[in-house]
Amino acid sequence: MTKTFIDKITPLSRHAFNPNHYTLELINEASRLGLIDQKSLNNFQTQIMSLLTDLIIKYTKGESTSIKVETAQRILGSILYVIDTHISSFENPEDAIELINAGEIKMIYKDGLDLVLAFQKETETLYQEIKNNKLDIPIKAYQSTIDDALPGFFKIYDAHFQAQDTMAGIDYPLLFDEPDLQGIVYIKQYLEKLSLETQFCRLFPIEDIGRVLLDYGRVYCLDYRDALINIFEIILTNCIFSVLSSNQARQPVITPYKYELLCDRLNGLDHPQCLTLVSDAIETLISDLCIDQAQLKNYMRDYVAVLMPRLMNALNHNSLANVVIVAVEKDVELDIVFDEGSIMDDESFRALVDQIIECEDGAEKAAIIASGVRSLGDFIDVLEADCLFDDEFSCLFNTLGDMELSILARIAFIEDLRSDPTAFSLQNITNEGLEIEWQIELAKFFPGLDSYRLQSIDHLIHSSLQAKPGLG
Amino acid sequence: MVVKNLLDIYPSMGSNIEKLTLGEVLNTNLESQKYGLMLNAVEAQELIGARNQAIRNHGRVELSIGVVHSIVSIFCPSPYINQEEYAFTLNELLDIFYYMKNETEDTIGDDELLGIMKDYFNNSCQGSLELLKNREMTGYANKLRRENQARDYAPERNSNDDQDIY
Repeated sequence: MTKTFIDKITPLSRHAFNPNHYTLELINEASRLGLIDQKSLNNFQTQIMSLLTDLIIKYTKGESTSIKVETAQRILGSILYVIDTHISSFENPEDAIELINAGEIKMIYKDGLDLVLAFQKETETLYQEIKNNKLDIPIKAYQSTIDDALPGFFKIYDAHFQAQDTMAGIDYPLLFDEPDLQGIVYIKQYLEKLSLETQFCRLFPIEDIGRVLLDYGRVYCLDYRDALINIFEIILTNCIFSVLSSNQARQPVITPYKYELLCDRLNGLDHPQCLTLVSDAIETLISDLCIDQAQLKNYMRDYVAVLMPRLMNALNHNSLANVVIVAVEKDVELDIVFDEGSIMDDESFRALVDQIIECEDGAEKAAIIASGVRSLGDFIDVLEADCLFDDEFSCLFNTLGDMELSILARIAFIEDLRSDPTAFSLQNITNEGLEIEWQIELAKFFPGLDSYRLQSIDHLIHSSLQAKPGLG
Repeated sequence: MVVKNLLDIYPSMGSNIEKLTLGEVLNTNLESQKYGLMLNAVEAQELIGARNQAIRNHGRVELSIGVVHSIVSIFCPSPYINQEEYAFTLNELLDIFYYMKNETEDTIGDDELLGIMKDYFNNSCQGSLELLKNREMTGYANKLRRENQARDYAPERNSNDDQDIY
């Protein structure tokens, strides 16, 4: 005889309802299924309106008997949001229906308000942790979201009269955001995910993260500091491919050599094979980086679904270099190509100098110059624009390649080169006779380089002299 | 939908908005007759219609009928109101009142606003409803909005006191 199992059918699924109209959709569906009667429906509406009347009186502090319709609608939206927060917290929607049938709508509101206020407190604490652990990365959207937008939200958030509002200029994109959520529930999920992403990124040296972002900007021809990019996604992507190319979980920087190894490994693989490799790489990352937090593990694993279509598309179109950010050799790191055809107009130049002056960090000044200056003339003008001081010159010179340094050396030491070109060597230079500040700083900078590199730059100087005997 | 569209405030609040009845309006005669002013049943009915229309025209939700009583008790002693124009004046004052609630961005309470209206009406306007609305009250609202703006954009804002409602 065949046994027949009768399972209890739960007709209501909490995931079937729009989170922003949860209670109303739940009630309508429950009513359709006969789980809630007309008396309870009428009671629900009457009590909601009674709550609205109470709150309007509180809102006007008893000084006005009327308010604008828009204000009343906003307060009503706030009441429903607070009730939604409580009602949607029930794992089983039928328990919530039972509560509504019991008729204690004002009690549901009170419990919802307590929950919203608890979320607010909890989220403010989480925000402080995120602020304390903020990455030292000059992405404007990231910095302004943490420094300005989130404190602004907490300052104006009003759980009593505007609980549903998410008034905050949050520009920094998460890898997995839920933009359909509202109010404190949205901010809560945003900060929880930002916290996970920050925890992951802090496992790597900040210099490595900066290096990958700089290379990312080069690949996509943008200034990464102004871009709306997710740091976690870029670093996680490179880490996955770093594991696949050289089994180095802690090294997000992928050299051209590692990239070649990676291409060899992925070449000719189909979707299931790539999926296995990527999933295994994420597990290796979790293990090697000693990640034990379940939420972060799952957050990383969820990325497979995002990465796989991009990876397969890149492999099919031979464009893997757009997915994997490959490091450019250090001597051309900042890509300052002296191109006489790219001279800046006066206005742009003044804006650039103002930006440099406002900046207080030498490395950041160097990055601004690297992203803004394309011609030798502009570069020299910047050096002489009184916007760099003391060791900021060496910060900038450190970012230049051998070719660029050889060009600057030819300008700075032109008298020495004219008097005895064959005897000239950077190994013997002094700052005697130099009067311009950047040239004096350059003379101080060269002795700090290793002799191999000085020889290389010397070689470039002498090569150019042979090619252009009429220098100067 | 089984549950009415709750955000459509007027039908939703139908049972909560206190309806102004003919008896309520006629009761105001007890106060106004001290000054020789009376509404008859037709005028009282017209006042109910004018009040409801003013609330809708100015996009407001009214929770009680207290404003009609307040207008009667505040304006009846005015030397510029006579029996012939009493009903018309009340209708106009109600409209100016709701208009001003919007124009002042709900930043002043009912009693304070009615007090300001009365002062202008009895003094600079000498009973002119046109001057009251188009000159004095509009000018007052503009000045108040500028002051509110200056306060809102001041470098240091006063934070609102957090209220415990329930």
